[in-house]
Amino acid sequence: MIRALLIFLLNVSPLIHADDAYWISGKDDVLENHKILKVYGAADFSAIEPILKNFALEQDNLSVLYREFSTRELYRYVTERGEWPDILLSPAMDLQVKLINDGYAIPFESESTSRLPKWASWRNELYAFTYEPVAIAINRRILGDDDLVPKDRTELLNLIRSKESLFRGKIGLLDLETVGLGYLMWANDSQQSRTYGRLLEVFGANRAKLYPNSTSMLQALAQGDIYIAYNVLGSYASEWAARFNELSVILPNDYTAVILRSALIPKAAQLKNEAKLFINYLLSEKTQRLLSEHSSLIPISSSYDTNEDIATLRQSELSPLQPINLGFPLLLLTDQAKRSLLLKEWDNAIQN
Amino acid sequence: MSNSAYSIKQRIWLVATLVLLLMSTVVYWSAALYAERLARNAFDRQLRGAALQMAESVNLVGGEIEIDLPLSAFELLAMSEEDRAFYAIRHANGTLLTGYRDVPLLPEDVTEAQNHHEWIYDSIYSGEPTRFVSIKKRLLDSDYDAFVSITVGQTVLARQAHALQTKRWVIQFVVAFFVLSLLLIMLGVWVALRPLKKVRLELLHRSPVDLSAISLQVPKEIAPLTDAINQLMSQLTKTLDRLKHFSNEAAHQLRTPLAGLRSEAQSALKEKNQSLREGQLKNVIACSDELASMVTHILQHAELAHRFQRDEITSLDLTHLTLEVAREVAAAALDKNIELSYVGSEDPIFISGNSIALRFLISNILENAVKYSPMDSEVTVQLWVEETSIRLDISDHGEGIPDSEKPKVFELHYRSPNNLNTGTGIGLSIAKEVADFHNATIELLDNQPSGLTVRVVFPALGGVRF
Repeated sequence: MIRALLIFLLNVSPLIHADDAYWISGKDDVLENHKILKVYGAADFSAIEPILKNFALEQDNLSVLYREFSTRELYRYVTERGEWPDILLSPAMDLQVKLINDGYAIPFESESTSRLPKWASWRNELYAFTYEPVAIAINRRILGDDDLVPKDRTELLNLIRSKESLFRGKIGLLDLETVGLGYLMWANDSQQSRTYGRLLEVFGANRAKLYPNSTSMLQALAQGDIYIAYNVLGSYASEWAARFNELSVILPNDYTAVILRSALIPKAAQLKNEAKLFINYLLSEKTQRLLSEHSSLIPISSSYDTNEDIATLRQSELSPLQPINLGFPLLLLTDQAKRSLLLKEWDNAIQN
Repeated sequence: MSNSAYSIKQRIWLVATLVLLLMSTVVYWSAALYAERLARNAFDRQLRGAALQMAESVNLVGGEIEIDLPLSAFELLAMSEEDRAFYAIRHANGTLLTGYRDVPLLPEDVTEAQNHHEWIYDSIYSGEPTRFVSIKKRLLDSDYDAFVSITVGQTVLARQAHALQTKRWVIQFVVAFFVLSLLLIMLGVWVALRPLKKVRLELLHRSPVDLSAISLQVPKEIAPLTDAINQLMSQLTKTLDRLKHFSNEAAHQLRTPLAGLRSEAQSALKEKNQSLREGQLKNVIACSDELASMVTHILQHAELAHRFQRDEITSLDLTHLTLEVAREVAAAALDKNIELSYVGSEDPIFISGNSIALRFLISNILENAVKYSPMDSEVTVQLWVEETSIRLDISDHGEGIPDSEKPKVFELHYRSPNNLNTGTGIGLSIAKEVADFHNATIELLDNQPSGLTVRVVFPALGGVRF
């Protein structure tokens, strides 16, 4: 009955686009007082489904409604419309931090939240649950017989310079203006990388292409439309690399930023208790293992890394992996002036 | 132990606890206040630092305002890890350049101005108490002149946590200080009171007849106590000696009349002659009278010691007292057909003294005068006031006392070898004792043509002085 109602809702409500909303039913969804935990997120449903499904099955009398957004869409949707879910998941760390700083979330502390490292949570309101290195994906078809897969940004720049004409229009980047994750990664480069200026210059000179999401960019890479996908989530890239032999995933040696997908409980959440249960569930050993085994997402807990490259890197003391820390300084990236400066810089570089 | 009104130890405990409590409160209060102020200054500096860094990043570039906020400003704010922060950069005309639209403007009554273009104020923002810094910056170029304001606010969780932590630390310190001080004070008291305990044990373990001085080494403060005890001991020794002497003498004195009594009574028992036996029996009565008088004097003496010790001093009328005693003695005088006359003040003469003791003084002298007067003679009592003294003269016409014996008659149990009359030898010594107690002097003068004048001189307004 409830399923029917939901389908009805999906059909008639202009707020819910059937394409982006998913219904995950629990073990007994016909009882009265049935609860629906609303989860809004910016993760591919296929990646997040296993853990949502498992949660719904573990709870009595509870189903999960998952709605998928792009990160900026999600931020605007909740803040402008004031329509809040019970759980909000997003990899756009700057926007998540802004939601916390603006007082939209409630604090919650438990044994599992306090297990998180300091850089993976903020104010007991924001909790990282994945650990996703930002990678460079390359189509090896471009490489000559003598060329090696570049290991860091300097080698990448040298490669591009050595084959100047070949890379024209063949470098892919997420659209900074529309893709929150793309902006976060690029802005982080501007703060972290000494090669940022040269990257900007080389990408501009080669007329880098902008893509609206990782999937379309990786698809273009697989098809040979582009040879380099710069700043793509390692978890997605590895998935594509597994399907297409020609693709290689580079975790740059100079530094590899790590995006932390994080969760928060909005103040306006209807099912706060269930949301808290969900946070505990999300951070539990069991769910972290589930993430590593049945999802492309990489868990925050380092005990369950199935990706061997990353597992090795995480354990190394001289690891280039540099997680972007959850905390107040990320608010700078949401500054209007900063954002327009970065975008202007980018536009200038591309148009020259 | 039995009748101790309070304990020095308890008093010191109480006073020390109160003083320490007061001190601890003051220390805690001022330290907490100081810590709070210090924390506020430190966190204000942090906030100002962030605002200044932001202000520095606001510049004119080609006639337009460019803002490139530095990461360091945000990292500075993030040092208060749990706190949220808000900022706004506004043009003087009110346009928001970047940041939070609704950050509260500078209140008009802001008092904490750092200087003329920097202000610090408290406000409520986003439902939480927030501390704000506002900086005004002038942007000046050849064709541009405008002010921008940079406002940065931060919630106060870290400040509060910091203050709380300091207060907790201060409390721990104060409690430790309190306990330690109290222990030290009690140790001090114990050490200080130890000599007293030593004195107590010394006295406790003495034999009851041991009246020697205490020879303990004691601190300066306790020395007066042991000195007083030692003085009491020596007085007790003297008193005890006097008492022994007195009872020896009294027993000795009583033996003579008793022996006389016994021999007279024995003679009377054997005497066949009626008239002789009557004479002997009269002697028995005289001896008995003598004994009674002696016992009276011994009792008086004991009474005096008791009276003087209890210090029963009143204001009394010496005239009245003298006349009263004279009337009591009048009967005895009449027996010997002696004329007892009073010459002197009719008005009351007040002195302060012990009335019973003074009565003994006058009656003893007067009784002596009557006793040593021949039949049909005259005894005169004179009382008058002089400039600096009050004089009482009691004169008789008896044998008088030769000059060589005069100093001795005041000694206890002294009796003149020439004296044929019976006497206890106590009367005059009692008189002397009473006179001494009242700061009076007794003189023995020769009366004309014969006899003795006993002169008692009281200091005017005198008597006993304390």
